[in-house]
Formats: sequence, C-alpha cells, structure tokens
Amino acid sequence: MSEPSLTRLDTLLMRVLDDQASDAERRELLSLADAEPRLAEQRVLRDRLRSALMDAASDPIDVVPQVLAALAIDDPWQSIASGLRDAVDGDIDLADGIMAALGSAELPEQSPAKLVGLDLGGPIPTAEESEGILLSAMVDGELSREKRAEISGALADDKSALDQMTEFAELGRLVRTAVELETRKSELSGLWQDICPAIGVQDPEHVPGWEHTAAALRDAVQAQAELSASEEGAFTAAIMNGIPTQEHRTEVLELEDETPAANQGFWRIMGDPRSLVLAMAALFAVVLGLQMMQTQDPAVTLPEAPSDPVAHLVETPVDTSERTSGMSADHNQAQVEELESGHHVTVHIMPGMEGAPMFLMIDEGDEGATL
Amino acid sequence: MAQTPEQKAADSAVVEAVLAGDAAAYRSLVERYQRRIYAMVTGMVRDKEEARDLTQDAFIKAYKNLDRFRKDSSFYTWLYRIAMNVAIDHLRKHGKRKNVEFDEKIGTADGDGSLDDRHRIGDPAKELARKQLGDKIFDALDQLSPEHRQIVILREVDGLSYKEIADTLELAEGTVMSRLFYARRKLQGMLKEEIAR
Repeated sequence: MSEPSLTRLDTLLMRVLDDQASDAERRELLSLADAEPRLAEQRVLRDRLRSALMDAASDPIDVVPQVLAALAIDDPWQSIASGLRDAVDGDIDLADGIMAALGSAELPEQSPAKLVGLDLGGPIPTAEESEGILLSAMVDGELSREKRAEISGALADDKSALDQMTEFAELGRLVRTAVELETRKSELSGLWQDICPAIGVQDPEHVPGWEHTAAALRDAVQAQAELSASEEGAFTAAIMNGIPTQEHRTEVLELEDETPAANQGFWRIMGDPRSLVLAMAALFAVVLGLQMMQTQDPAVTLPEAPSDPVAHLVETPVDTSERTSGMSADHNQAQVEELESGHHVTVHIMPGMEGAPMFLMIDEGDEGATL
Repeated sequence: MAQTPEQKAADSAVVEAVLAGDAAAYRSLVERYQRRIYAMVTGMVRDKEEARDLTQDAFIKAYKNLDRFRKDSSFYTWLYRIAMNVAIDHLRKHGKRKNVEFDEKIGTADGDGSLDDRHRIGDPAKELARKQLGDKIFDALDQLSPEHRQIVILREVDGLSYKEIADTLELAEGTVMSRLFYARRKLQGMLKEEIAR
C-alpha cells in the first residue's frame, strides 16, 4: 500500500476511535483494509473490523489497536502511556510499609469451608454459611473422619446446630416421600415399546394391533374368574381343608466352635410338652435337692443364678460334662424346634443348671402344653 | 448409590453390543434404569405424563449419542446427565411446573367399576393429607432454580454421593456442597411448618 493510503488508513482508524467517522468513511476504511497486503493474511481481524464498523452497537476500541499493530503503525497513545509508566515506576517501595502494618493485624478467621479444602465455587460464604455448609455435609456423611471428629465435639453442646442437622435430614425425607408419592402409581412397563420406534428397533414381543385382542381376552377371562362372596368362601374352605397338618420338625445343627472355652455353654430349647413337663419336674427336683444340700452343709457353695443369664454366658465358663439326656443339644449343637403352627408361643428364660440359661418356648395354643 | 465395577462393566458390555449392531440389547439398559431416571425427572418436573415423556426422550437421546459415550466412564452417570439436561431444558422452555390437580378418583372405583390396586388406599383423610403435603413439597421445589433443584433431587431422591453428583453435573465437589446447602436453606424457609411436625 502506498504511503498516502497507509496514512489515510491511519487517519480513518483514528476517526473511528473518536467516533467521528461517517458511514462513507467506514466503508472507505474497510475497502482500504481489504486491499492492504499486511492484512491479507489476517482474515479474522478483518472480519472483526467489519463487524465493529458495520454494527452501530459494537465498540471498535478493541479491534482498532490490533489493526494498527498489524499494520505496524505506531499508536501515538503508546508513547504517552509508556511515558506515564516511566513516571510512575520508580524507587517507590511500599512493601516494607505494608508488611509493617500487617504485623500487628490478626489473620482473618479461616472459614470452616476453607478448612475442608474444597473450592466452593461462587461467592465466598460468610462464617455462618460456612458452618451451615459443613453441617449439611455432615448430615450427608460426606466429611472425612478427621473433620467429623473435629466438629462433633463442638456440636455436642450446640443445640441450634443439632436442630439444623435434624431439619436438613427431615427435608430429605420430605422430598423423598413427595417424589415417591408421585411415582409409586406410575406404570413404566411400556416405556421400552414406546422407545423402540424412535430408535428403529423392532420389538419382537410387540405385535401391532394386538392390544385390542389382549384387552378383549382379559375382559373375557376376568368375567369367568369372578367369584361371588359365597363361592369365594367355599373355595377358600376347600383349600384350607386340603392342607395337611404340619408336624413339628426338629433339626440338629452343627455349630462351629468359634468361641474360646471360657464362653462355651449349652442351650436348652424345648418344644415338646411332654419333655417340658419332665424337664420342669427334673428342675424342681434339682433345686429342691440343692436347697436340702445347702441346709445340711453350709460349706457347700452353690453357684449363684446370674441376674442376667445372657451376660453370664459371655463371662463365665460352664462345665458341660453332665446333661439330662434327650432334653438338650450336645456341646456345640443347638436343638431347634420349628413351630409352624404355634398360636400363642411364649418364651420363658430361667436360670438353668450350672448357671446356663434355660429357654422354654411354650406353645400355649397347643392342647398338650400345660404347666 | 455408587455403581460397582461389575455393574459398570455390564453396562459397558451392553453399550458395545448396541454399537456393534444389536440395538435390541439397549432394552436391558432401559429396563435397568428407567425407574430411577423417571423418579429423578419427576422430582424435577413433577407432572407424571411429562416425566414419562421426558424419560423416554432421555433414553432416545442417549441411544442416538451412544457413540459419544466413553466406555471407561459410568453409563449411568452419563445417562443421568442427559436426563437432567432434558428435564432442565423442558423447565426452561415451559416455565414452572403446573400444579397437578388432586385426582378425585384416587381411592374410589375406576371407570369400569373395579378398584385398581394402585388406587387402593387406607384412610382417605390421611391420603389427602399426604397429597397436600406432597403438593407443598413440590411447590417449594418449584421455587428453587433448576440447578439447585437438580442437586436436591440427585442427593435426596437418588442418593448420589457428592462425588457422583459432581461427576454427573461436571461440577466441583465444593460447588455441589455449597449448592446443596443453599437449596436446603431455601427449602427450610418455605417448609418450616412441615419440618417442625
């Protein structure tokens, strides 16, 4: 481009920056820019210039300096700006003064959220909001163990924080309930059939036009299957009368000896009423005998019945060498009764021999079970 | 609910089969996730008919873009993201959800005289109270921005962890954390009476 053209281009660019360029001058500027070899490879820049010049709402202030730079035309403003920078830059050193002022200032309180080490995004929360964020995360179980431990101690005495957490949990429950209420009655079984046409899949289970036939079949079968109240009652009675009575079954399970010797004991579970009566009689005899022995020889120390039979099992070793045969499972075995037809089953726990508990399960609905 | 590696592998295998030409295999993915996606979309838009349509749209969109699914990632998370975007786009186009009118037929006979098992209820008064509470919850959810609402739904309805929510929505975990708190705080203000009961 000739020097006069370059000068003219420069002049027009300045007029654009000053917002004084007419429409004709803008068109002339674009024409000169398109013809300028140094802008021939800068198609994007020319497009931006065109947009900036033709759109009244846009501001060409960003693109014009870039065009000037591409044309290697000195921007007169740059010399002024560099002069100002030189004037400002100097031997001014504010660092010492600032650090001295900070020396006595307290460090800003670290927000709890920052302590979590997460970028929370968005505006920086207040201290109160940070605490709330942590409580919210704690309700969700999303805090690390260490952070939870750190916060839990303070929470114990902070009723408002605990109330806040309770409300967060309750909100979750309400939302889940509301959505479940809306969706529970929804039938989604036909969703795949609805999707198939859109994705070009022929569902082998779908037969076009079958729906009407299926509905008619359903109606016909339903009409046949409907029972009156008396018919239904007779039907039910016939079924129940045909069900054989279930006898009690006894199953002996082998249990692995996982507990140390000190914790071993034996269990007695009785369901057969005859065995129960014999066992009770034996028990009374033993207790009576022991009492008699106690009165005869005060030196004999009897093991005390534990106040909590279950706890005693855990703590005290039990000698399981003697058994009343036929009434208890052997060592490491449990005799299990399956009461399939028990109506009113009660469980009695009483101290047994040698401190081990005796569990008596009495089916009070059974005719033979009397005590 | 976090997916196990086995579940992820199973999903990826189905995706590969579909991409290899077995389009019918897609059914297993639809049936596996339709209810969860439907519940999430219902939480966003509430109306059941719209939720069903949007769920369908989400699965169709996922199918059509299956070649973009990265097999090393979770299909469910990817599907979830699609469904969430579909729901949010719908909300933006159609504004707030309309309140669904109380269905007076619930608890009474259906059109043909028989009582649909789905409509069997216990105490009608309790059912009404439950329905009204549900309306209040959804009205409150309506007041949240779509971004806050989706976080609440993903956390409370689908039980996703913060990390899973972050992966699904392509957000930082911290953003999930703070958005959830702000959403809960807003819901707290609107549902004070219900929380206090």
